[in-house]
Amino acid sequence: MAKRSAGNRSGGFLNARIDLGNQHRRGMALILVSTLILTLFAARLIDLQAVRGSELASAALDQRLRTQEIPAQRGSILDSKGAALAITVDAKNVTADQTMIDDPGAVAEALSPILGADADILATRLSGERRFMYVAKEVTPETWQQISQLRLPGIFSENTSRRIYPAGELAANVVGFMGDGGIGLGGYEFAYETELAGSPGEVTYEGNPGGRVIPTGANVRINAEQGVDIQLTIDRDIQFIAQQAIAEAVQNAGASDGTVVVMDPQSGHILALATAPTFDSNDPTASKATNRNNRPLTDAFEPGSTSKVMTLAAVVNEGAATPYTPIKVPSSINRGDKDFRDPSSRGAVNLTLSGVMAKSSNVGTILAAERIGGKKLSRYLKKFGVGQDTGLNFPGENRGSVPNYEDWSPTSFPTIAFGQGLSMNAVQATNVFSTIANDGLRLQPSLVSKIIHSDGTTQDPGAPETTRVVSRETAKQVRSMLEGVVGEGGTATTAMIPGYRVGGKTGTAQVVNPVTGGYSRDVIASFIGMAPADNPRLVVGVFISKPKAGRYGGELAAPVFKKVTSYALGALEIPPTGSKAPKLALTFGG
Amino acid sequence: MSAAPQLEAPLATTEYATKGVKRNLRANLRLVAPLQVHKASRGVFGMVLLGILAFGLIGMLLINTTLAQGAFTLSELRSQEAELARTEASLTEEVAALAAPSALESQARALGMVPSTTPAFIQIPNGKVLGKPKAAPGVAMVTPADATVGEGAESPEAAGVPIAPGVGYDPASADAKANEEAQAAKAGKKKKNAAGVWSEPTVIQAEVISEDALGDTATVR
Repeated sequence: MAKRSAGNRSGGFLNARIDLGNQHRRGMALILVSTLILTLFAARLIDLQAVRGSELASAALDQRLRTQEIPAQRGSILDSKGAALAITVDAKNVTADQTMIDDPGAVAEALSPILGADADILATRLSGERRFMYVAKEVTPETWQQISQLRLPGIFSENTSRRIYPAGELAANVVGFMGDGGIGLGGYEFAYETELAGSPGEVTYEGNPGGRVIPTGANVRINAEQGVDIQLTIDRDIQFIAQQAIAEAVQNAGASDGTVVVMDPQSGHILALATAPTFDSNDPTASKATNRNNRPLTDAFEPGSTSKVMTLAAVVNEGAATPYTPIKVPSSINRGDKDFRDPSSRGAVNLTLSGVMAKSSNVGTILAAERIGGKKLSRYLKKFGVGQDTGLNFPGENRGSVPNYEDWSPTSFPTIAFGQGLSMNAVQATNVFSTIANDGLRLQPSLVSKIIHSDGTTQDPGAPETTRVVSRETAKQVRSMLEGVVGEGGTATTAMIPGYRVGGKTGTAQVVNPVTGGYSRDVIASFIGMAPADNPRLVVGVFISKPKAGRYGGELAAPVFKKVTSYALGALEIPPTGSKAPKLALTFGG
Repeated sequence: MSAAPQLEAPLATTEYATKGVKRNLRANLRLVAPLQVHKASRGVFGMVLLGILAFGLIGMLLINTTLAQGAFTLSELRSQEAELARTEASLTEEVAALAAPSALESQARALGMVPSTTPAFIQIPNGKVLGKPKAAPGVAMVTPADATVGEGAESPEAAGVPIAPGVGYDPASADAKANEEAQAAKAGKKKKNAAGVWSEPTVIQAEVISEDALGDTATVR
């Protein structure tokens, strides 16, 4: 500017003005021009900062803000001592960008031994034009590390988690299994899906284009709510022995299936709930759908002779008989135009009420039940829990049924008295004996001992619901009658455990043919017992369905009872009481 | 932040320059001395400003470096944490698998142990035996390596003892081993086994009622 003012007089608008004016005018022009420019700047500034300011700022923030989900860890399922039955561990999904792989065959060859998968199958997943493809799901972090060390082009990983069941088949029927997408599909995995899963959190932060966190930027973190741990009442050691014993018995007898229920009568806790055949929670689809059922709860059946305990306990509790009451038992009786007989009977016998129980006499039970009548019997059956929910809230539970007294036909009463014409599941049937073991007080059984939250607080299900069914004295008398079953002359001498007092009852129940509605040749052989009989700490029920080799509860189920109970007595450190079993007369002279 | 000192500096210089021009034009009577003072203070002032500027810039640099360093450390520790979590997970998995009852059972069988069917307890201090201990069914293993559990010929319960899958049984070598065991048992001292559940099978009938056998099956309470 200074140079031009020195004397360039040639044409041009700007130069002409400068030539005309003095220093003052030049100053004015300068001010004018700069004001003009600055006004433009100011206008732009106001536009950016004031008019569109917040809009632009938030657009810019959006470019930097990233939100990442914080996955919630699924809770574990534990046994009564805290040992893991189901846990979640970190895992990796192996993914591929097919466009980056030039030689799928070679990459597949390299992956094949590490993944333990067929190279040809892998090659098909690696060849193509897709940018994203799963190669293998839920591999261990170690496996991924081996793969990443190969530095294969186009092979990537993503974080995921894997549900594992360290003990495989152990309590699989109770624990359940998971489906695709990490959702529980069976057992308690299904029943407690929401609690176990928890809810994911998220973190929102400002990041640079490379993905790194900008330290001074906004950072909002909502922590994930971790899933709760569920502690079961199942003792995995007893469960293991029970599963092993029932699997063996089912196989030896050529039976369709079998079930073992182990209960602590004083707390109502179910210590083992075994069924065979079962499945492996790690690989549920490898087994038949019926094997994934928790049969002790999902299958109801006619209990047969084990149900006589309810009938005779009712008779004793009503004061209609004592264990010593003599009953003349003919070989058959006619009720409602139907003959009822004892299968092994050869003419009339003189049995005491204890003898009726020990010999499992159908006729004797009917005669005893007639002393109190059907209405009272029906009331006792309901109090014992027949047709009632167990309260376990297990998915697919079948609570069985007993017809209402009003609907009973003339043959209903005698039939129901000895355990046919009503149905129960294995837990209900075992809980009847647990009630007798617990001095006549029925406890609601439980499978979940507590829920443990991620902050360490525990949630107790509280004291079980109780129902007074029979008096303490009645329960005691019934227990001594049950000892007669296992003693000399009873139907279950195979259940004896040397040194211990054991009481129980056999059952050989006929199975209803679902097609004809009548009884089939098939039976359910059962034995439900308790030990020590004078102060019961364990009640164990064994049920074997449709055996081919063998038929009776005493020969098939009682040995399983012995195996499971003797183990559980040792494992739970329950010593013998040292007392002697009373000798109850089973027959009377004359 | 760094923009503020940069803007102030040129403004200040302009003001001084303008004053100087005006003085030259109309006032020759003025003293020169104050000018020199002004000059000196101008230099110091500039230095101070530069100092502040430098200090600010270096400070910013340091803070940024520290923060960036922190971010790097953070991501490094995060990946280390993930790595350790992975290790923990695989170890947990391994321990859980080894601690599973089926694994323990096969380990116990590999050691030649079989389940006891008659729990018994020794009462302390009077030494009274509760229960009726009996030798566990089964015979001694052939070798520890092949983990053989055979069926005991003398015990009726033996038939009911589940045999681990894939286990072979060689009666001849089992007998030989059984004899060895019997010798060892006679020569050896009483064994106390705290676990009432698993016990070594005793093969000699006479041992069943001896104290040796009792010690094997009893649980000390």
